[in-house]
Amino acid sequence: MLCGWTGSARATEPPKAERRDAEKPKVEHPFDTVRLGAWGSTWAGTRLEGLGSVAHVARPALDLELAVRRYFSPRFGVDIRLVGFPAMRDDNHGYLRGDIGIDVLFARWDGAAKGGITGVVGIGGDAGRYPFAGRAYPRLGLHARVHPGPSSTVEVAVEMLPVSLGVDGRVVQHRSELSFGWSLFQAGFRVSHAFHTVGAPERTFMIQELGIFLGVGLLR
Amino acid sequence: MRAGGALGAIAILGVVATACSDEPSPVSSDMSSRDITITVAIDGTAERTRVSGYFATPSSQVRLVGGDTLTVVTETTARHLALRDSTFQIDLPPYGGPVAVRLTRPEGRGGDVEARARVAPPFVVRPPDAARASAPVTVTWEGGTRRDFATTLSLTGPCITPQSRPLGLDTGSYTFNAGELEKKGVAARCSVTAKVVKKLDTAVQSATVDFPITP
Repeated sequence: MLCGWTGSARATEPPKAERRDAEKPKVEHPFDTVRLGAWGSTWAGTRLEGLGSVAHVARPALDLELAVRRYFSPRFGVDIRLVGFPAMRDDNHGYLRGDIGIDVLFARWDGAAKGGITGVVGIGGDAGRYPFAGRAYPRLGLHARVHPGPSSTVEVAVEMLPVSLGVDGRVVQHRSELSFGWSLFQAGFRVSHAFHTVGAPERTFMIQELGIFLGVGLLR
Repeated sequence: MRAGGALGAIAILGVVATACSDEPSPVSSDMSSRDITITVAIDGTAERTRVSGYFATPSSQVRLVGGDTLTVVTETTARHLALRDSTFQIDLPPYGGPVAVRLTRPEGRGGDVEARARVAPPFVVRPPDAARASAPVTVTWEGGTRRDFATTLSLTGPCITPQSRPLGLDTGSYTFNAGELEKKGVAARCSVTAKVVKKLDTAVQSATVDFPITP
């Protein structure tokens, strides 16, 4: 009987290889995202004119975006985003931005609307279009994602760029984004404020950008 | 409904996009003193001294606001100036000496901006008595201006050959030689104008006199 119990226990215990597989993180992570789409936005505010004067600027902008977030463990992932649009003819409104960061999942909940909160630490750089562009910067961010349904997501992201390198003066930027996903369809709103302190006498110029996003997303 | 909302947002963006602009602010408080250059010109006569000029700034329509004041200062007076379309002009009593046009600014805008000029003292030109084109003609005025002023005498009229003389020294008189003024085929008497100009950079002091001349 004992041997039989023992034998039975051995028979139900999975092999070592299967146990290792079970301990491995699932390949699919609820925060994994691949998003491709276009932003339409307007940006307006003030910029440096001459050596220390103010110019008012208001312009539309169009950008293409590829955003990839891939978790390589239950808690850690990488976040890569490319945004940009080429300059057309002689204009100077082309733009390119690249961000990369490490995502850390530090809160997660289940239930009817499961979700979680991640922190992002990374770096980035941009060039073109904006008076404050042509710089490299660190990124600090928070993302909160909720899955109200099996194929829908709502995500709020806030990000701060506390300093910038490579551009005259000092630049501090805040970026916020509210995005929605329904199956493959993705949409979102974006607000960005950049404060550029430069010139003689020194002034702080502010550029505000409001945009909407339409695209497709692949949620793993 | 969702598609309608998205289209509405795109329409709003389109409306905003039509308001596309990139313009320097015309408000003086938005301008750094380092981006402001004042150019002044003086046109002085025995009747008045006209001070005029313009602002070279990022905006061509600068408006003085927020404590920025423009004044013209001489050794005898200080007057406020109004700025219209980035230009200014004021008539002062006859004057000779230094002139400053000064933009006085509150702290934090880069300091005051000033343009300076020096105008020769006002003077009058005296005509010759009974001038004849066939005889030496002497024009006199108050001379003795500093050597850095360029002095020019000109004589024009329908019955004489026009003359212009840059003078190395402001001697106060000049004599045209006999026959220099004669114009071929003209035998009528006419009125001629003698003009003396004393110039230093953009500041001009001038005087004219009309007198009759006979062939």
